Amino acid sequence: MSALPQRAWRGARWRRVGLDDLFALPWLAVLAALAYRFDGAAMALGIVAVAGLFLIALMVWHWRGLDHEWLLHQLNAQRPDLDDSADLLARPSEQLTPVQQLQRARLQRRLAQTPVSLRTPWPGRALLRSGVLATLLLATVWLWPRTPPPSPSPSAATSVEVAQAPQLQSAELRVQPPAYTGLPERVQHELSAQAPQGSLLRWTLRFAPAPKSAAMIMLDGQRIPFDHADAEWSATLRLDTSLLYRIEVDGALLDDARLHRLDAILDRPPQVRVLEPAQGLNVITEGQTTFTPRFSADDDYALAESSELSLRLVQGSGENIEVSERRLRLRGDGDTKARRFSHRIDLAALGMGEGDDLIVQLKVSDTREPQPQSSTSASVILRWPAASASNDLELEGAVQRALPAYFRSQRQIIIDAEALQQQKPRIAAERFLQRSDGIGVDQRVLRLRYGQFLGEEAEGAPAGTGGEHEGHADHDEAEPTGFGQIDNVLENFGHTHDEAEAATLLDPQTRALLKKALDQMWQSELQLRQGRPDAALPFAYRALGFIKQVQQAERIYLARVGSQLPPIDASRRLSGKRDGIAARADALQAAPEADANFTALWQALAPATDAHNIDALSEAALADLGQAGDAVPDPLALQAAIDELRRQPDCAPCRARLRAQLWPLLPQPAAQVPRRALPDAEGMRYLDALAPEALP
Amino acid sequence: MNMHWIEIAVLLCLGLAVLGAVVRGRRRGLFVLLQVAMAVTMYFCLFPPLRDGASHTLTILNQDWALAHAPDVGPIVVLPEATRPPEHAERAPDLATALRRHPEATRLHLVGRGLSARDLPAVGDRSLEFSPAPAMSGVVWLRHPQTRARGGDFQVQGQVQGLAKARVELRDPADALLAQGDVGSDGRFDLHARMRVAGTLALSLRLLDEGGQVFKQMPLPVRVIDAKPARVWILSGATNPELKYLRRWARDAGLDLHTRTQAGAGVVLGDGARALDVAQLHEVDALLLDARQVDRLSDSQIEVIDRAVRDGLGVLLRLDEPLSARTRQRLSDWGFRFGPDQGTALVQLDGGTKQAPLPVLHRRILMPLGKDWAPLWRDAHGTALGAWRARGRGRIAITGLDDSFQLVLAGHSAQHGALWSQAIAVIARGITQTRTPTIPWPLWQGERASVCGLGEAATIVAPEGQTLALPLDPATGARRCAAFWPEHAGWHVLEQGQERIPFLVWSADTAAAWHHQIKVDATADIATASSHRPHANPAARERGPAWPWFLAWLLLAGLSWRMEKTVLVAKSPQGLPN
Repeated sequence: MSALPQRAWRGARWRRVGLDDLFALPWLAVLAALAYRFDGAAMALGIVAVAGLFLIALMVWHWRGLDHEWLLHQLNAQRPDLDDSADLLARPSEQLTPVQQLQRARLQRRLAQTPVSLRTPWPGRALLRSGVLATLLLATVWLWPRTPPPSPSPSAATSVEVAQAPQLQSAELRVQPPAYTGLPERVQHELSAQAPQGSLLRWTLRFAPAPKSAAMIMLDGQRIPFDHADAEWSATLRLDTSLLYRIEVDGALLDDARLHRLDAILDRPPQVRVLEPAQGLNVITEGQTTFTPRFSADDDYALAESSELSLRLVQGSGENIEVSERRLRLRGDGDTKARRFSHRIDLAALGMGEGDDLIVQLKVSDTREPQPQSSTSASVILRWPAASASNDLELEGAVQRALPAYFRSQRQIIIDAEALQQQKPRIAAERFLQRSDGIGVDQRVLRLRYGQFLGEEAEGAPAGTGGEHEGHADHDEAEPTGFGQIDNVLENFGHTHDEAEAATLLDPQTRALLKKALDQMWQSELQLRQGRPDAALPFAYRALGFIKQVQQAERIYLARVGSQLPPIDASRRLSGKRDGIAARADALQAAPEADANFTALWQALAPATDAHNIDALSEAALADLGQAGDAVPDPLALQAAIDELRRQPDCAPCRARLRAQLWPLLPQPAAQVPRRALPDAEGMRYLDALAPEALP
Repeated sequence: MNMHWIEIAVLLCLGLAVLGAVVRGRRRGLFVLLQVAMAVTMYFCLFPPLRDGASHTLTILNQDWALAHAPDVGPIVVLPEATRPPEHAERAPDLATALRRHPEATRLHLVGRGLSARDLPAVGDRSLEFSPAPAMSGVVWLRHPQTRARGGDFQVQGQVQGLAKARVELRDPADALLAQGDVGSDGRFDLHARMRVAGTLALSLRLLDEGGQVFKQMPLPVRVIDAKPARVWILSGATNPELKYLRRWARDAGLDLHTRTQAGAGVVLGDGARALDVAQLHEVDALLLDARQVDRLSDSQIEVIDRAVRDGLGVLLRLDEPLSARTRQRLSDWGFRFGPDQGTALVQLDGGTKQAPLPVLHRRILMPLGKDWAPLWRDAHGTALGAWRARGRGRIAITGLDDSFQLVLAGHSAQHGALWSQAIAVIARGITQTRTPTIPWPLWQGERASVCGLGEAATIVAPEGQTLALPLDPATGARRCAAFWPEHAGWHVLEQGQERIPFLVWSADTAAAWHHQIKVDATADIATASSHRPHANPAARERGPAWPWFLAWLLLAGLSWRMEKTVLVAKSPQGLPN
């Protein structure tokens, strides 16, 4: 084993490595600080890691550099009493000659008597210089003012002063919506919030250094102090209306008096819609025993579990009407926000009979506290018409499907004509002509009936139509027609025998089609009358085609025809009693000018004006704002703009912002009459000279 | 060039004459000839003959120049607006300086954008060739009123270039949409908005590209003023809803209204009695009559009205019923001749929205024959709904519009008011305008502007608060103008006595396409004018070099001296005493 002074050797190595650290670490800190200031923490960490690796490498290199040979060299150089034979210490004693062993023992003794110190001496000055320089640099980097600099020369004094004003370190706003909304509690770090009306807000703020007092100041002057426990300052508020607030610490407003905004979101009343039936008034169908209306309802938060269905049965007619009402609780399907309701109403059990009306409504509530809001659906009416009421029912809408009965006739004419044509060889010519003429008469009758739709004058009375055109008293006495019987719509409701141009029953396209059909019928009739059903058939087919088109394309709208007033008889004018009728003065008043305060403030804020009464005007405008209610789209923004201008009266952009906020509130006055300018003297002379030419 | 020929010809003649004299040996004659030649050469040495300046072209590079247009001969001058000036080019603070440095330049070649107002006068009568930079896309033309009466209609018309399927929006100061429209295939658009109370404001015109992104945005300033109320006298032969809503509008609009409505049998509704005479009508700006009233007035009253019209009164006749022969005759005397009564027609006015369309109105089909009238209103299809014509200093209008009150009933009372405001504005008696300063529009930062109609000691307050005095330019005489060079964009205020008129100056990059277009048009005008001018102009001519003449003179002088020595001295013993 070697007798080298291991302890001293290790000490030397540690000293070397330690000195490395002492020199390098402050500079590493400077580097890290620089990186942090320029590029943030991530960069600083990276730099520290890379530089640390380099430092470790350097340390390993230096550690290795103080090796065995260095040790022997140092021992020989430092200790003359080792007689330049320190190598002996390194060699195991077994390999040595006796003289060498003796010498080795002497060396060992000498080393033990005065232990060797191989440590590098402390480089005090250099270390101090390096340390001080690095610390100065570090301080400079760290305390260098952030942009923009608060003062031209950052000095220790200002930094102390900045530190003395309490600053908001962290803010936490806990929003607890009302339980009925079912919304979860949330925590945010913004001081402005939007929350359902009635939410409980709790602020938890931390300031540094600790202030003496802190409070919230609402824009309307209300003040809510913060309580503090340890370093946490807290306050609670129930949010009933939207408002603006600031935070005041030790009597000074925080963040340049920045306004924070709390918006209360109003609970919407539930919405109910009728899904079925699609229309409000429904007529009972034959054999109907039940009635199943369906509703859907939704709300922004939650609907109440059950809702109320009201059934009102209206019985009787004329003045003898009885109303009985029943209310049912209904449970809906679906989640809490949107439910569907349906109920099967047994008409017989309800006691509904002919001539009765059943009115159904659904009332839905939400879960708002303290009072729930409720809405009622539109009424659904089921009508069981009285026997005599069917006529009126058909009138409803004044829309009827057109002409189904007539088309069979045209087809019948074709069928008859074809049959006749087939029988031609078998029957006598005279008989054939007679039968053909008979079909021709049918064709004529049909043509005349269609002609009525176009307002054509009937050529005599077509047999079997009942369409006498002399008087129309029979219209009033017409038999009541049943539901769905629409052949004689025209006779019942239409008046088509005026000029063709003024026939208002059909629209122009349909009239054109019908006209074509009539032309074809006329040709068909001509051929039939002459005993040539084969020649008549193409025309008859074409007529059928046109009529088909009319049937497919059209409805007939029965226009309301205005009454024809007799001409005014001027001689009877003003011949009645005129007692109490006298000349009177004009009672017309100009409309009062609305929103005069907004207008005045808007005008005072114009770029050219130099108004000094902006404070008074904005006060008046704020008062108006309170009364304006929903007419103002965003009252908080307007309040904030007014407040901003009051704090900085010289701020031109603030004026512009407030002016822009006011513009939508300005009234829309009646258009004035701009005045034209008179022409100059020369123009006057020109006009005067023109004037005689105007005379005839 | 031809001047060279003159010189050569003169020299040639002289040379030939000398040669001929020498050959023929007429020495004395030659000597005399030499004196003449010397005098001529001496004169031309002192005043070299004029000739066309060698056509020196000066190339001027302006903003957005492209080298493709610039020739590589001749000097190149770069104006301060030019971007990326080439290395070898000479920079000049303005065109006038450049031309002072290059007095020889007679032809200018401008490359890039048009010249600004600063440089335009410097061109003078030099010939100008203009290679414009490619046009900028955006709004290249815009027209809107600078002043509107309270509640009046603000109309913006403009033209967009270089954008397909663009849209325009007019927004109010609170950024709410007032009007929007598509840009037509010819790039034109037309937007309307209604003004509110009196004051100064800037609406914002936005140009949106195909994708709906805001491409350009520019503030449009407008001054809404309270107009002097017109004095309106309504004489009506019957009462009806049209009259009722017309009167209501007139009251609300602040007109000085006097109404007399005949309800029949001597019952008169409305204000107190007034005599229909010239003195009374002189105090009225507009007289509104209906057809029944025109029929009912006596001939002398019609004569009085006619005299008042010639003196400046405006008359509006509402022809709301078939005209009697008497009314037709009276209207014909006023220059409105009508065809037979044709009943009524439907009227669809322009305006309204999809949600609130304007109702269909009715009018009597009564438009005057001939063409000596101007339309009072137009409907959505451009059909005239009324007519007016001047008579002396006043104006007479007729309209067959029957039920404009339907607009009020349908919730469009603003449209109703605008309709009647427009009609009465046309006919009402004119007023003498007080002298108000006229501020040009548009104004761009850094562009010279000329404010006219100024009084004494007018000043302009810039947005930064500096006050600029406006010294009058005596050269503008009675127009009383002063130049103004806005350094800042934003609202300026012109102060003159008690009057404070705010006006807006656009920043240089606002509506740049329009600015560019104005400059291009002005420069192109100069370029076109210069191309029509006769080419040889005195200023462009210069004197040729003097040294050939001096040499010639020297030669002749030497020759003459030699001749004196040899010829004349040799002869002197014969001809002279010593």
